[in-house]
Amino acid sequence: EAPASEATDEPIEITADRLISDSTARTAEFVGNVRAVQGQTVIDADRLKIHYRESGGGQEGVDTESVESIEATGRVRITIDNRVAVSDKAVYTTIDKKLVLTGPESRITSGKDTISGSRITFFRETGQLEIVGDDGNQVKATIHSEESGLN
Amino acid sequence: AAQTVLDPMADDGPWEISADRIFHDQQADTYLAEGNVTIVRNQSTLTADRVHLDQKSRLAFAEGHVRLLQDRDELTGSRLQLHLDDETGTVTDGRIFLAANHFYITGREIRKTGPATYHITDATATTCDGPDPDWSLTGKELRVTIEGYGRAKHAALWARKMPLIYTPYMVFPVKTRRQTGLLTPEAEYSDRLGLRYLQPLFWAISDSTDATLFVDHMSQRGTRLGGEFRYMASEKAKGTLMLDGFTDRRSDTGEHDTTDRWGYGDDRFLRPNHDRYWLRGKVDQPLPWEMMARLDLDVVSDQDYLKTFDSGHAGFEQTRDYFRDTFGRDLDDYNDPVRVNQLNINRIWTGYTFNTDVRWYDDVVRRRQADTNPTLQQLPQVTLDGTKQRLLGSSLYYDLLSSYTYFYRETGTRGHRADLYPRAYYPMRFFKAIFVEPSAGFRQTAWHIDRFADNAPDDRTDHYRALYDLKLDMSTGFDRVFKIDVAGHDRLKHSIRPRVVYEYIPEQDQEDLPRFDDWDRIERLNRITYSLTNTLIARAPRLPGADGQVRGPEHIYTPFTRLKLEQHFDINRHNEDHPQPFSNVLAELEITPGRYGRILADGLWSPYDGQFYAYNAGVLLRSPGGHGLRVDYRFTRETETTRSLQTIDATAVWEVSQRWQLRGKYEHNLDTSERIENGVGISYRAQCWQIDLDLKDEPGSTSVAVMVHLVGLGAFGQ
Amino acid sequence: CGYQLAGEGPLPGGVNTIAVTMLANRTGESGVEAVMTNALIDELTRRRQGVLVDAQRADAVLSGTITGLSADTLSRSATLTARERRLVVTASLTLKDRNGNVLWQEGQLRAETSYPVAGTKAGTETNRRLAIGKVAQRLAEYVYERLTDTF
Repeated sequence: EAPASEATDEPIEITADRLISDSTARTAEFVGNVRAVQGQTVIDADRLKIHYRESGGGQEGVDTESVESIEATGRVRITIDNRVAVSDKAVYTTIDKKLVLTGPESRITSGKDTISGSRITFFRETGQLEIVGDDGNQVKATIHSEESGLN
Repeated sequence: AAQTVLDPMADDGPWEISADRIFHDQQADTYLAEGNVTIVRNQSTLTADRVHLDQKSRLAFAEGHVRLLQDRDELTGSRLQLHLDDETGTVTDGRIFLAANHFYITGREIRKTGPATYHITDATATTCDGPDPDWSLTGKELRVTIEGYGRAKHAALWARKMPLIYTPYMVFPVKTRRQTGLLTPEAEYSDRLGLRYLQPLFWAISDSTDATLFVDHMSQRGTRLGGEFRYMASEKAKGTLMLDGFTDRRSDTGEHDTTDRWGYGDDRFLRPNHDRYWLRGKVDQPLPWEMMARLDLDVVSDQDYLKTFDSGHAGFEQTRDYFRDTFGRDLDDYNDPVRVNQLNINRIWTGYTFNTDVRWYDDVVRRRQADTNPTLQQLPQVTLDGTKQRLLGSSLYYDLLSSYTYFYRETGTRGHRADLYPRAYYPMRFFKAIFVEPSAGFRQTAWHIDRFADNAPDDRTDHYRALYDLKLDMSTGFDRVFKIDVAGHDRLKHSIRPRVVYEYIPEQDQEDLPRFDDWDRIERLNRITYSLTNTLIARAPRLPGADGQVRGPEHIYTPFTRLKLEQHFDINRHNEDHPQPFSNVLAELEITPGRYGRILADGLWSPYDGQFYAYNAGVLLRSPGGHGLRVDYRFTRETETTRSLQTIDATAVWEVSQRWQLRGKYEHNLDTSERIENGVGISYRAQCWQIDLDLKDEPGSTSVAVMVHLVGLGAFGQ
Repeated sequence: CGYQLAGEGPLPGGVNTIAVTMLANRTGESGVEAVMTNALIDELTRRRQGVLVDAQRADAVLSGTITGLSADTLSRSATLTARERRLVVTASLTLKDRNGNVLWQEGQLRAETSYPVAGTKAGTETNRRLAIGKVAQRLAEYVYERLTDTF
């Protein structure tokens, strides 16, 4: 499948129960059964807040250049390059194409392999992944050696 | 047998990783876990500060406080590189701890050559905890094999910093428990052997066979060599052969003091030979049709050898204990100059047993010193014995003893004997508790003489004897149960078993029959035997286990006392107005309160002169702490048929502390007021070694023996 | 006076009939299995009406192994002159019902006696065989009491 980087410039379609747009704060917040789709990547969450740069507009279709960051909260579930990540909160920043999932039981699964920890950082550019635990509970991973890991 | 080795890492069980931080590079397909990393997979656990897993190259690098725990092997080091599929790899600043034998192995470089095998250069192995071990084995190259042996090249045994022994090649048990008596040198000084140093060496030939060789240098007598070969194809098919011997510079020719110094005066035989050896072995071999073959070999050069080498490595006592443990079979005692060598083939059915025995009694003294040897051999003896069983479902029972023997003597009569001895029984019960069992037997024996001794009276070759016997066995029993409250016991049962047995065998002239063994002369018998057996059994309610559950039957019964009185009345003597038709009264007392004590005593008392003709007592006491005392007092009065005997034999063990043990032995012939054997011993037990010091004083021989055991390397018979 | 005629006493598991199969013999004493098995059978048939039946019809089967037979010097008048030997026989027995459950088991049966050393080996062997017969009876008596001594 296409490496993550090309997929970033396709348009993002977002559906939700309600949309609250705040042009002064340059934010658009989708609330209730939110689903955002960009190419292969799908984000589901209770709430999705988009922060625009100065020139961004509030229409349904959102072109990617104007988005500064996307923040999903509440039962966040992200499918990205046939990996599935779940957490309480996920923030995607477009400048560095970095996706950060936080919350006690954040988990990323690929096939039979899973890694869970309190903070998962996914670098879409390089496909690298960093999972950090906090004091108290460490990062936990289950990896099967014959498959080539979380690809 | 070797451990069956599961290859934990290689099969595809998942790795459970936990760490402070995990970094995954998807392109390179690698994982980097940092901070208190623990990776668990099946029975293996890898812990380290950092672990880098490379899926493509199938390699794992662990750094910082690396510890790989597998089954009960523990590999630690500063860095470990492990190949994920076949689990080989190298560790730097490594150390292995093999829990099976508590072995620590360190080395310049430790390579893991498989799931349970290692190769270590400049290795040091010891079972001593702590940085500077009291003893250690070093080797240029040490290989830990799958069977659990360490094979070392250019090996040396050190006591702290002092080298003791060097050997170009050596094998020792690092994980297997099987081997004993390895490398533990024994030193002894005695006026008979002089300064003695015994050094065993061990060699595991294959997984199921191994050999131990030893060198036993005695300054007064010469250097004895010994070897032991064991094989164990399965639990049932196994064998051990032992041979040791030497050319003895001394011999007991009877001139001036040779008997006192090099022989034993009390057995009336000299020991002129210089070639001295002892071959012994046992083999178990299952055969088809559920038959079992068992071989026992025991050929010694002279009647003194086993006493001279009774203790120490591969001595008589250790050999006998080993045979009893491993084969369940015994050796003729060290003081028995006629030693049995036999091959037995046995097959059992539910009610029958078939035995074929080729038995050779090796009379050592006659073989070495006499020119005639009339010792009776059985080449073979074939027996088919049937146990008591119902006759066609009726209430009549029968059993059968039958045998065929070919008796052989080098010098003297040889011949065949066939013997058939069926018996019938008719057990009856009256008033629910009086048991009466009449029985009768009819024995037929036939002989055929092969070769007559030159002075044989007549030369009839065939003989036949038929003899019947009758028996009436009557017994009953009375019980009474008392309520008691003693040491947790709530009931006591006293039972009395009176029994009367009448036996009758007619008079028959057997003068002209051949006389091979005691069954060829069956004395007439017309005797009533009456006995009274008292037993005391205490009952205690079973205490519930830790979890409050009561396991097993709800009471525990402990029979702790038994007193039996028995006497015969000889009717033949009575009919012939013999003054003493009554026999002595035999009294047997057993007191067995529990695991920690046992008293067995018996006495023979004459009703005619009110004297004891024998009284014996054996006391065995053991304390939970490991202390032990055994005393045997034996007394037999002199009569026309019995020689007087009065001896006492006491052995004691005192566990002074966790480190020190004291032992004592006192054996005295009270008749001749001569000492037979006195001894005292002391052991010091350190964490990874033990040293025994034993003084033994016997008439004509005093010795001081030192024996070192290196824990983990085992000690023969320990 | 409180003493009653001893009845037959219950057998373990309430069985009525027992079969005794030939004991296995792990010792070097050929034929001791017949002596020991016969002693057990004798004790049963002599003290209990109609208890012994063949293995097919019995409620329970008594089987086992003679695990050891050893003779050590008990007394000696001098270093190499043994006068008496101590014979020790050990055995392990199991009583199993028709479908194989263990009703009674004793793994550490032991009995000992002494016998005199005669002038000739043949004489000592005879004394030894008589001692084996005596020990077999003693073990059989002990086993019978253990089987029936619930009170």
